[in-house]
Amino acid sequence: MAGAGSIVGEPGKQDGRLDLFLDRGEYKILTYASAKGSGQAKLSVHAFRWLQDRPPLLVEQRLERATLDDFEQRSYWLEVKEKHTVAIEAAGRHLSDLRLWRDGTWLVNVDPQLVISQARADHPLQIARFTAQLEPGLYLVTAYGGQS
Amino acid sequence: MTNLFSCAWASRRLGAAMRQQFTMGEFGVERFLVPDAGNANPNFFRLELPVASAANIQVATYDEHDPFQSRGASASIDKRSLPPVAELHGLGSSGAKLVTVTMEAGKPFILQYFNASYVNHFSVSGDYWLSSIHAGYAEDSIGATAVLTRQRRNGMYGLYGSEEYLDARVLELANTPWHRRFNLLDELTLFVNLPGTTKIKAIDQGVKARYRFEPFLTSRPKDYKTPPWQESGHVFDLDRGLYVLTVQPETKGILDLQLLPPGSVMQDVMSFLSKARAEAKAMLALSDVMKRRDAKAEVQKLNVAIGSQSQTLEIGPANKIVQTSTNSPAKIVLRSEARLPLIVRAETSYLPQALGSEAPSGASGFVVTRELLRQRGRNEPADKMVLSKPGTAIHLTVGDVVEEHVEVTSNANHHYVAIAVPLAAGLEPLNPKLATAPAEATPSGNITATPSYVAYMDDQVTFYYDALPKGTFHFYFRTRATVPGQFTQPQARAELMYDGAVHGESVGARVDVSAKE
Repeated sequence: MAGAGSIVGEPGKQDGRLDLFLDRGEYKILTYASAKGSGQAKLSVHAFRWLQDRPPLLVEQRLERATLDDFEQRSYWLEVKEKHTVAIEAAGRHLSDLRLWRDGTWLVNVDPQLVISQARADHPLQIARFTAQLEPGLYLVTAYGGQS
Repeated sequence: MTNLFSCAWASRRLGAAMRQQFTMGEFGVERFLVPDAGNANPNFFRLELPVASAANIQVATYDEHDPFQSRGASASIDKRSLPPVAELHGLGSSGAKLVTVTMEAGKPFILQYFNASYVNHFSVSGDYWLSSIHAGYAEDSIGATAVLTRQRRNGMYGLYGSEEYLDARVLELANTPWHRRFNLLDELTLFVNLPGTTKIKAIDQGVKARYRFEPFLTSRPKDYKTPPWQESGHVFDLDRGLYVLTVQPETKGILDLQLLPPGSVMQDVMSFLSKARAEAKAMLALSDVMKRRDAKAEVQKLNVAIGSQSQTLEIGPANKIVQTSTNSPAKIVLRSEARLPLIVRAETSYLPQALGSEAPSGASGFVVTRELLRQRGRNEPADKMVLSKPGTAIHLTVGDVVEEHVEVTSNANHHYVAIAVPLAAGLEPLNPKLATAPAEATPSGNITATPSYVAYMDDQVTFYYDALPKGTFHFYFRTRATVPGQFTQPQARAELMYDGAVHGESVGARVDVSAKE
């Protein structure tokens, strides 16, 4: 039980959108109209689409290039042979989140730092990076697409 | 629409010292891990760009738990940086270092670092190889000179003894002149050895600098007095021995410096002096006339009519030289009312009304011709465009690569010759000597005689020669059409640097660059 989540969106200005990791169970979605609001509200739920059946291995110092769009997720296996700190950085126009999963199933408690890169003035990039001290094992690095 | 995505882990690991070109990745930031090299840990870091633009280099002690840190010493390049270089000196901390370079994605940059040190400690006896590493382009450097000294230590914890001279790699100045053109960005020192008592004249061009020769001393005596700074043209009267020449810039930039022993001065400027002697004879003759006039002490009158304006000039003991001038074109009529002969000197200066593209060729000691070779695909012959008449139109498209071919014929052996090849404004020169130069920057033709120096500027390429013998010489370099529009291509010009009367020019031309479809 995590309790009520945050309210997103602003009536008349911005649609509300929540990108969430949800465990198995039932969830209740509450929508709020503005004080004088009336009419129909449209609500849709999307699952993030896995882009690979078998994620490749992320090799140290080797840059991986691929595509990532909204409602998509792309993963790489990371093998840690001995305890040490790893630093991971990802960039993309539609990148919205970057996470680390122990054995591909347990979410590691690391929040990515999100910054906008102006490396190309006409193509701003979302950069996500984190540093984590990891025990030996297999980890899944997963990037999630969002709105650019 | 697909959207690119990139992912990587860990920073690139580099060696203890290096100079290498990289291309900035799509993240707009590159991180390099420089391992701890103990006593030789790098403390000098340099970022170079081929063209000035915004870039930053930051160096910090590497923290494994915070590899994305944004702390540490930093230096920047901006669009006005000249040269486009950022350097960090004296980063003395031990341990591995994280080097972070930030700039626009897809652009090339050169990273260089090493341990810059005047002193090295050797605790184990044996043979050692000593070598030096230089920052930046060797051709922009004055060249390294060094004196090797030693201080022995009495036991592991004892005091150091006095400094002893061991060896030197210095500039030997005997009877031949020494000439370098280099970037003077800061005060520099040069070790110079003189085999005998001699006079050395320092002559410079370019940025303003001042000079000081001091005897090389491992320790200065108490009553040592630093000699004063001297300007270009000063003759230093020096005894035999090893000297330290210090050059101090007033502004940063390119300095062309010559150190001339007395014999070489006479030899290298012989032709200039012979002309100077002829001019001196004429001046002496004029002086004789003036002296005779003084003796007569009589005022002479000259009526000068410039167009409709008329005036009478009075020349006598009080006014030996009288001047008048006009800015308008007009017929000049002189009527002498003098009893004695007068000498009149008329000097005319003007700017041609016609565009530079219509300028005709000229030959006064040099003959210069120019042609353009537009490059086509690989293994295809180039389109040759010979510029035989003034105003010839050359049609190019943005992105076209053009090989410039200039032919210069000299009718005599000359010293200090400059061959300047100005470009139309829509073209940019391609310097094949840059580490980042593309393959198409290298011309297919070979320059006949290796120049003493070549300057690839934005608006022209200039070849300089200390000595150019009689004969025909070919010059090649490439340009790229970058901006659409109609432009004037000025004349290519060859001339003696110290005697503008000896020169030659090709015809001017027009360059039309059209946008790529």
